[in-house]
Amino acid sequence: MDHCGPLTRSAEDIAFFLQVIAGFDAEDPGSEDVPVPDYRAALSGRGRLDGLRLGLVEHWYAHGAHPDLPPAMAAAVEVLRGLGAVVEPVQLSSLRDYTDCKTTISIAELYAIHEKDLKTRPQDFGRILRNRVLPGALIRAEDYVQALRWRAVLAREQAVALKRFDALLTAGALNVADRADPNQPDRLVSSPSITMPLSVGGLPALAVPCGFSGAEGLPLSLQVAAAPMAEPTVLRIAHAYQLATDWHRRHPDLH
Amino acid sequence: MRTDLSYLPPSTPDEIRAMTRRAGLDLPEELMQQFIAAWPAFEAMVRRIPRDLGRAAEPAHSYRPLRIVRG
Repeated sequence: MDHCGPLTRSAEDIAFFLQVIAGFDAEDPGSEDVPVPDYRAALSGRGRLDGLRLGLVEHWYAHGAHPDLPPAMAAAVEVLRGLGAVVEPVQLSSLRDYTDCKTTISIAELYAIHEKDLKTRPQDFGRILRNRVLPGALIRAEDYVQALRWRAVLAREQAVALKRFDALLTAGALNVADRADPNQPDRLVSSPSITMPLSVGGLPALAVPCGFSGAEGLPLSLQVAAAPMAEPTVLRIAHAYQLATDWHRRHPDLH
Repeated sequence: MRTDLSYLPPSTPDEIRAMTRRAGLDLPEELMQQFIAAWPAFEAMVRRIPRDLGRAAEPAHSYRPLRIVRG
Protein backbone atom coordinates (compact mmCIF):
# COMPACT_ATOMS: atom_id res chain seq x y z
CA MET A 1 0.00 0.00 0.00
CA ASP A 2 2.97 2.30 0.50
CA HIS A 3 4.01 4.18 -2.57
CA CYS A 4 6.70 6.56 -3.66
CA GLY A 5 6.36 10.00 -5.19
CA PRO A 6 8.52 12.89 -6.29
CA LEU A 7 10.12 15.20 -3.72
CA THR A 8 10.76 18.69 -5.06
CA ARG A 9 11.10 22.29 -3.93
CA SER A 10 7.66 23.29 -5.19
CA ALA A 11 4.31 21.98 -6.40
CA GLU A 12 5.13 23.49 -9.78
CA ASP A 13 8.17 21.23 -10.00
CA ILE A 14 5.96 18.26 -9.10
CA ALA A 15 3.72 19.06 -12.08
CA PHE A 16 6.67 19.04 -14.45
CA PHE A 17 8.08 15.88 -12.89
CA LEU A 18 4.75 14.07 -12.97
CA GLN A 19 4.27 14.97 -16.62
CA VAL A 20 7.38 12.93 -17.40
CA ILE A 21 6.78 9.88 -15.21
CA ALA A 22 2.97 9.45 -15.40
CA GLY A 23 1.40 6.91 -17.72
CA PHE A 24 0.07 3.38 -18.02
CA ASP A 25 2.45 0.55 -17.22
CA ALA A 26 1.25 -2.76 -18.64
CA GLU A 27 3.61 -4.62 -16.31
CA ASP A 28 1.96 -3.09 -13.24
CA PRO A 29 -1.49 -4.54 -12.38
CA GLY A 30 -2.15 -1.48 -10.21
CA SER A 31 -1.65 0.93 -13.10
CA GLU A 32 -4.75 2.58 -14.60
CA ASP A 33 -4.98 2.77 -18.39
CA VAL A 34 -6.34 6.32 -18.58
CA PRO A 35 -5.16 9.43 -20.44
CA VAL A 36 -2.46 11.47 -18.70
CA PRO A 37 -3.75 14.98 -17.99
CA ASP A 38 -1.78 18.14 -18.64
CA TYR A 39 -0.55 18.69 -15.09
CA ARG A 40 1.12 21.98 -15.99
CA ALA A 41 -2.23 23.36 -17.16
CA ALA A 42 -3.49 22.80 -13.59
CA LEU A 43 -1.13 25.53 -12.45
CA SER A 44 -2.88 28.23 -14.45
CA GLY A 45 -5.53 30.46 -12.95
CA ARG A 46 -3.18 33.03 -11.40
CA GLY A 47 -3.25 31.31 -8.05
CA ARG A 48 -6.97 31.76 -7.35
CA LEU A 49 -9.07 28.97 -5.88
CA ASP A 50 -12.50 30.50 -6.36
CA GLY A 51 -15.23 27.90 -6.50
CA LEU A 52 -13.26 25.13 -4.82
CA ARG A 53 -14.67 23.47 -1.72
CA LEU A 54 -12.11 22.01 0.63
CA GLY A 55 -12.87 19.63 3.51
CA LEU A 56 -10.65 20.18 6.53
CA VAL A 57 -9.96 16.97 8.50
CA GLU A 58 -8.97 18.81 11.64
CA HIS A 59 -9.71 16.07 14.15
CA TRP A 60 -6.76 14.01 12.84
CA TYR A 61 -4.27 16.57 14.17
CA ALA A 62 -6.23 18.42 16.86
CA HIS A 63 -4.80 16.25 19.66
CA GLY A 64 -1.38 14.73 20.16
CA ALA A 65 0.34 16.81 17.52
CA HIS A 66 3.23 19.22 17.89
CA PRO A 67 1.82 22.30 19.66
CA ASP A 68 2.85 24.59 16.81
CA LEU A 69 1.00 22.51 14.21
CA PRO A 70 -2.67 23.49 14.82
CA PRO A 71 -1.93 27.24 14.64
CA ALA A 72 0.18 26.74 11.51
CA MET A 73 -2.68 24.79 9.94
CA ALA A 74 -5.18 27.46 10.94
CA ALA A 75 -3.02 30.08 9.26
CA ALA A 76 -2.74 27.94 6.12
CA VAL A 77 -6.51 27.55 6.00
CA GLU A 78 -6.90 31.33 6.18
CA VAL A 79 -4.50 31.70 3.24
CA LEU A 80 -6.59 29.26 1.19
CA ARG A 81 -9.79 31.10 2.13
CA GLY A 82 -8.13 34.32 1.06
CA LEU A 83 -7.52 32.73 -2.34
CA GLY A 84 -11.23 32.11 -2.75
CA ALA A 85 -11.64 28.53 -1.51
CA VAL A 86 -14.48 27.56 0.78
CA VAL A 87 -13.03 25.53 3.64
CA GLU A 88 -15.36 23.54 5.90
CA PRO A 89 -14.67 20.89 8.53
CA VAL A 90 -15.30 17.27 7.62
CA GLN A 91 -15.51 14.34 10.02
CA LEU A 92 -14.06 11.00 8.97
CA SER A 93 -13.18 7.92 11.01
CA SER A 94 -10.46 8.42 13.58
CA LEU A 95 -6.82 8.57 12.63
CA ARG A 96 -6.29 5.47 14.78
CA ASP A 97 -8.88 3.52 12.80
CA TYR A 98 -7.09 4.37 9.59
CA THR A 99 -3.64 3.55 10.93
CA ASP A 100 -4.81 0.25 12.47
CA CYS A 101 -6.26 -0.80 9.13
CA LYS A 102 -3.33 0.35 7.04
CA THR A 103 -0.65 -1.01 9.36
CA THR A 104 -2.22 -4.47 9.48
CA ILE A 105 -2.35 -4.70 5.70
CA SER A 106 1.10 -3.20 5.20
CA ILE A 107 3.02 -5.34 7.66
CA ALA A 108 1.49 -8.53 6.25
CA GLU A 109 2.46 -7.50 2.73
CA LEU A 110 5.88 -6.22 3.80
CA TYR A 111 6.61 -9.49 5.54
CA ALA A 112 5.68 -11.42 2.41
CA ILE A 113 8.22 -9.33 0.51
CA HIS A 114 11.03 -9.69 3.05
CA GLU A 115 10.31 -13.15 4.50
CA LYS A 116 13.30 -14.89 2.99
CA ASP A 117 15.80 -12.29 4.19
CA LEU A 118 14.19 -12.01 7.64
CA LYS A 119 14.57 -15.77 8.09
CA THR A 120 18.13 -15.97 6.82
CA ARG A 121 19.77 -12.67 7.83
CA PRO A 122 17.53 -10.65 10.16
CA GLN A 123 20.54 -8.90 11.68
CA ASP A 124 21.16 -7.13 8.35
CA PHE A 125 17.95 -5.09 8.73
CA GLY A 126 17.99 -1.83 10.66
CA ARG A 127 16.34 -2.18 14.07
CA ILE A 128 13.34 0.03 13.33
CA LEU A 129 12.56 -1.48 9.92
CA ARG A 130 13.08 -5.04 11.21
CA ASN A 131 10.67 -4.50 14.09
CA ARG A 132 8.11 -2.97 11.75
CA VAL A 133 8.23 -5.86 9.28
CA LEU A 134 8.62 -8.86 11.60
CA PRO A 135 5.13 -8.44 13.11
CA GLY A 136 3.78 -9.35 9.69
CA ALA A 137 4.85 -12.94 10.42
CA LEU A 138 2.19 -13.11 13.15
CA ILE A 139 -0.69 -11.63 11.14
CA ARG A 140 -3.30 -14.32 10.59
CA ALA A 141 -5.13 -14.71 7.30
CA GLU A 142 -8.41 -13.65 8.92
CA ASP A 143 -6.76 -10.48 10.30
CA TYR A 144 -5.54 -9.57 6.84
CA VAL A 145 -8.90 -10.22 5.17
CA GLN A 146 -10.81 -8.27 7.83
CA ALA A 147 -8.39 -5.36 7.37
CA LEU A 148 -8.99 -5.45 3.61
CA ARG A 149 -12.74 -5.35 4.24
CA TRP A 150 -12.26 -2.41 6.59
CA ARG A 151 -10.16 -0.67 3.98
CA ALA A 152 -13.07 -0.78 1.54
CA VAL A 153 -15.37 0.77 4.16
CA LEU A 154 -12.89 3.53 5.02
CA ALA A 155 -12.12 4.26 1.37
CA ARG A 156 -15.84 4.54 0.65
CA GLU A 157 -16.15 7.03 3.50
CA GLN A 158 -13.51 9.20 1.83
CA ALA A 159 -15.20 8.84 -1.54
CA VAL A 160 -18.46 10.10 -0.04
CA ALA A 161 -16.66 13.10 1.46
CA LEU A 162 -15.09 13.84 -1.90
CA LYS A 163 -18.53 14.14 -3.46
CA ARG A 164 -19.04 17.18 -1.22
CA PHE A 165 -15.53 18.56 -1.51
CA ASP A 166 -13.04 19.04 -4.32
CA ALA A 167 -10.20 18.13 -1.98
CA LEU A 168 -9.36 17.25 1.60
CA LEU A 169 -6.93 19.17 3.79
CA THR A 170 -5.10 17.96 6.85
CA ALA A 171 -1.61 18.12 8.32
CA GLY A 172 1.30 16.44 6.54
CA ALA A 173 2.85 15.12 9.76
CA LEU A 174 1.93 15.30 13.43
CA ASN A 175 5.44 16.16 14.51
CA VAL A 176 8.63 17.61 13.14
CA ALA A 177 11.33 15.35 11.74
CA ASP A 178 13.23 13.12 14.15
CA ARG A 179 16.96 13.31 14.53
CA ALA A 180 18.85 10.92 12.26
CA ASP A 181 19.60 8.58 15.15
CA PRO A 182 19.30 4.81 14.59
CA ASN A 183 18.83 4.26 18.34
CA GLN A 184 15.74 6.43 18.67
CA PRO A 185 12.40 4.77 19.50
CA ASP A 186 10.15 3.90 16.57
CA ARG A 187 7.66 6.75 16.35
CA LEU A 188 5.21 4.66 14.31
CA VAL A 189 4.38 2.80 17.50
CA SER A 190 3.82 5.85 19.70
CA SER A 191 2.32 8.33 17.24
CA PRO A 192 0.00 7.51 14.34
CA SER A 193 1.01 8.53 10.84
CA ILE A 194 -1.28 11.12 9.28
CA THR A 195 -0.28 10.14 5.76
CA MET A 196 -1.69 6.62 6.20
CA PRO A 197 -5.40 7.51 5.83
CA LEU A 198 -4.86 8.80 2.33
CA SER A 199 -2.98 5.62 1.39
CA VAL A 200 -5.98 3.63 2.62
CA GLY A 201 -8.19 5.50 0.16
CA GLY A 202 -5.64 5.44 -2.64
CA LEU A 203 -5.91 9.21 -2.95
CA PRO A 204 -3.29 11.40 -4.61
CA ALA A 205 -1.80 13.53 -1.85
CA LEU A 206 0.81 16.23 -1.62
CA ALA A 207 2.43 17.82 1.44
CA VAL A 208 3.73 21.38 1.37
CA PRO A 209 5.55 23.30 4.11
CA CYS A 210 3.25 25.61 6.08
CA GLY A 211 5.52 26.92 8.84
CA PHE A 212 8.33 26.08 11.23
CA SER A 213 8.22 24.86 14.81
CA GLY A 214 9.34 27.40 17.36
CA ALA A 215 11.50 25.14 19.54
CA GLU A 216 13.24 23.07 16.86
CA GLY A 217 12.97 25.40 13.87
CA LEU A 218 11.89 22.47 11.69
CA PRO A 219 9.22 22.46 8.97
CA LEU A 220 5.53 21.79 9.57
CA SER A 221 3.35 20.77 6.67
CA LEU A 222 -0.09 20.93 5.13
CA GLN A 223 -1.40 17.94 3.18
CA VAL A 224 -3.78 18.19 0.23
CA ALA A 225 -5.57 15.16 -1.22
CA ALA A 226 -8.28 14.66 -3.83
CA ALA A 227 -10.21 11.88 -5.51
CA PRO A 228 -8.30 9.15 -7.34
CA MET A 229 -6.77 10.51 -10.57
CA ALA A 230 -7.49 14.11 -9.50
CA GLU A 231 -3.83 15.07 -9.25
CA PRO A 232 -4.48 18.31 -11.19
CA THR A 233 -6.75 19.51 -8.38
CA VAL A 234 -4.11 18.72 -5.76
CA LEU A 235 -1.44 20.52 -7.76
CA ARG A 236 -3.65 23.54 -8.35
CA ILE A 237 -4.31 24.00 -4.64
CA ALA A 238 -0.71 23.43 -3.57
CA HIS A 239 0.63 25.74 -6.27
CA ALA A 240 -1.79 28.51 -5.37
CA TYR A 241 -0.77 28.18 -1.71
CA GLN A 242 2.90 28.41 -2.64
CA LEU A 243 2.29 31.49 -4.79
CA ALA A 244 0.80 33.15 -1.72
CA THR A 245 3.42 31.98 0.81
CA ASP A 246 7.15 31.38 0.86
CA TRP A 247 7.47 28.58 3.40
CA HIS A 248 8.81 26.26 0.70
CA ARG A 249 11.66 28.63 -0.02
CA ARG A 250 12.88 28.89 3.57
CA HIS A 251 15.45 26.61 5.15
CA PRO A 252 15.72 25.42 8.75
CA ASP A 253 18.81 26.58 10.63
CA LEU A 254 20.58 23.29 11.33
CA HIS A 255 23.72 24.79 12.93
CA MET B 1 -21.73 -1.56 18.62
CA ARG B 2 -18.25 -2.35 17.54
CA THR B 3 -16.92 -5.89 17.62
CA ASP B 4 -13.20 -6.42 17.83
CA LEU B 5 -10.70 -8.49 19.77
CA SER B 6 -9.27 -5.74 21.97
CA TYR B 7 -10.74 -7.42 25.03
CA LEU B 8 -8.17 -10.21 24.77
CA PRO B 9 -5.16 -10.05 27.11
CA PRO B 10 -1.81 -9.18 25.49
CA SER B 11 0.31 -12.16 24.48
CA THR B 12 2.95 -13.09 27.00
CA PRO B 13 6.64 -13.20 26.03
CA ASP B 14 6.48 -17.00 25.97
CA GLU B 15 3.47 -16.89 23.65
CA ILE B 16 5.26 -14.44 21.37
CA ARG B 17 8.26 -16.76 21.25
CA ALA B 18 6.02 -19.71 20.39
CA MET B 19 4.17 -17.81 17.65
CA THR B 20 7.46 -16.63 16.19
CA ARG B 21 8.83 -20.18 16.11
CA ARG B 22 5.64 -21.43 14.43
CA ALA B 23 6.12 -18.76 11.78
CA GLY B 24 9.49 -20.32 10.98
CA LEU B 25 11.63 -17.56 12.45
CA ASP B 26 14.73 -18.43 14.44
CA LEU B 27 15.81 -15.05 15.76
CA PRO B 28 19.00 -14.48 17.77
CA GLU B 29 18.10 -13.75 21.40
CA GLU B 30 18.89 -10.05 21.16
CA LEU B 31 16.58 -9.63 18.18
CA MET B 32 13.92 -11.77 19.85
CA GLN B 33 13.98 -9.49 22.88
CA GLN B 34 13.51 -6.47 20.61
CA PHE B 35 10.62 -8.19 18.85
CA ILE B 36 8.98 -9.14 22.14
CA ALA B 37 9.10 -5.44 23.04
CA ALA B 38 7.76 -4.34 19.64
CA TRP B 39 4.93 -6.84 19.06
CA PRO B 40 2.39 -5.69 21.69
CA ALA B 41 1.78 -2.37 19.92
CA PHE B 42 1.13 -4.17 16.64
CA GLU B 43 -0.99 -6.81 18.33
CA ALA B 44 -3.17 -4.06 19.78
CA MET B 45 -3.63 -2.55 16.30
CA VAL B 46 -4.64 -5.88 14.80
CA ARG B 47 -7.05 -6.63 17.60
CA ARG B 48 -8.85 -3.30 17.11
CA ILE B 49 -9.92 -4.33 13.59
CA PRO B 50 -13.72 -4.69 13.57
CA ARG B 51 -14.86 -8.26 13.04
CA ASP B 52 -18.45 -7.56 12.02
CA LEU B 53 -17.84 -6.39 8.47
CA GLY B 54 -19.86 -8.19 5.84
CA ARG B 55 -18.18 -10.31 3.23
CA ALA B 56 -19.29 -7.86 0.57
CA ALA B 57 -17.08 -5.16 2.11
CA GLU B 58 -14.16 -6.70 0.23
CA PRO B 59 -15.67 -9.20 -2.19
CA ALA B 60 -13.70 -12.30 -3.00
CA HIS B 61 -14.11 -11.37 -6.65
CA SER B 62 -12.06 -8.20 -6.23
CA TYR B 63 -9.47 -10.11 -8.28
CA ARG B 64 -9.80 -8.65 -11.76
CA PRO B 65 -8.82 -11.26 -14.33
CA LEU B 66 -9.39 -8.94 -17.32
CA ARG B 67 -6.67 -6.67 -16.01
CA ILE B 68 -4.25 -9.57 -15.98
CA VAL B 69 -5.30 -10.77 -19.43
CA ARG B 70 -5.13 -7.32 -20.99
CA GLY B 71 -1.90 -6.46 -19.21
